[in-house]
Amino acid sequence: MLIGEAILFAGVVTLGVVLWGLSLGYVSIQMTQLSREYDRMISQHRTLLVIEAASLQSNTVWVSNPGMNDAIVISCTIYPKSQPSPGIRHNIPATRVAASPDRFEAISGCERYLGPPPYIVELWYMSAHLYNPADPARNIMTAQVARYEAG
Amino acid sequence: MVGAAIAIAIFFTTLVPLYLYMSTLYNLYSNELNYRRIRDIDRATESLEIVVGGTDNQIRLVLKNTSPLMIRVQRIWAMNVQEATPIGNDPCVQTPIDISPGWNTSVQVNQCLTNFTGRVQFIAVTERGRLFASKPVLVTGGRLASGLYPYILAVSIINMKMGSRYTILISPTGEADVQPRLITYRATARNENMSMSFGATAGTFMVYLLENDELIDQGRLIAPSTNPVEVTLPDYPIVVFILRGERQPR
Repeated sequence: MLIGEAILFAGVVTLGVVLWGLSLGYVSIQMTQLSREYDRMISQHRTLLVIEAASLQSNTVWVSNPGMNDAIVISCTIYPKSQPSPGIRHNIPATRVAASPDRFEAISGCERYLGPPPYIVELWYMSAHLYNPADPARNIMTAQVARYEAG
Repeated sequence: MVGAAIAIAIFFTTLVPLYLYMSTLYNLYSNELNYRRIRDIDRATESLEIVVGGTDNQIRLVLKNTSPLMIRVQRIWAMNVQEATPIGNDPCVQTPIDISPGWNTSVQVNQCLTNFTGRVQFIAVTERGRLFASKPVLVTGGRLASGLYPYILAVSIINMKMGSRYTILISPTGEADVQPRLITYRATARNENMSMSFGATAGTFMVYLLENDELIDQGRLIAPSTNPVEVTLPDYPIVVFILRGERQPR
């Protein structure tokens, strides 16, 4: 009788510990996923890019970042306003724009589409710490857009 | 009993912390949303008027803060409207300018437009990331076209002699300026009259009337009493040369 109770007790304790371990694992995974998701959402709200000027002669765009996170520009296109947006093109080397209103960056080599003026300058950017050069598909999911009318 | 104790332990060591963690994250996110909303409202509330003005040699921007917020202008770009490109490929003004609510300030921008001719639009970028633009203005040789010659000097010649060539020559004194400085006209009828207008700045000018490249002497003039005539703008913007008329053939 005593041995039977001991075995039952050991079984319950073992099962409890296993359940406890599984619960802790599940909670840890949930917390990590939640952290990533909130980090992504908060980063999007803290990132802001402004197109200050653009040159239709040299296809250069000057940008600044009055937001709170550094930004990475992943796409730059100049297209006629009468045409639809070409979307994210990954047509320039990823360019970091520091989060400081005092500084501005020149982004050259923007892709130009032919057509009548006026033109739309379109930049796709994302928070720098979310940027993963090896995973363009995921980058697109967190990218934001800035537009500017020129010409 | 032991099973119940373990269930309670699991509840307090996993689910409760998870709930607290989720609440904390949600609070952080709500704070961030509020902060972003406040920033967006501030950005939307910013209001800045840019007026381009100036005198003969200076072009100034008047920045009027018509919002209830302090505005810091980080940079001012001078854009070549025709080519849609920044003049000099750099900001015209890079020193931050603070403008209190309801106040205005002026900034000299000549340095960006040296010898530039064309239409210019100035764009101010604020610290919060807003862009405010002036109306495009015409600049000629680095000077504001509308401010170059704000006055008109009108010169009339009465009773010209048919076939003679008349030249009006205007010589500014000091810092005064006038365009054009010389106009020539050949009379095609007896006792012909004509009037011409010249763009001018304020100042003193000597107005000469020549007939066939020679200064008309006093004997040919009914009025004025001298040739050349000294006029000062903006007080005396009109000169009328009245010549003695030709007799009509019988």
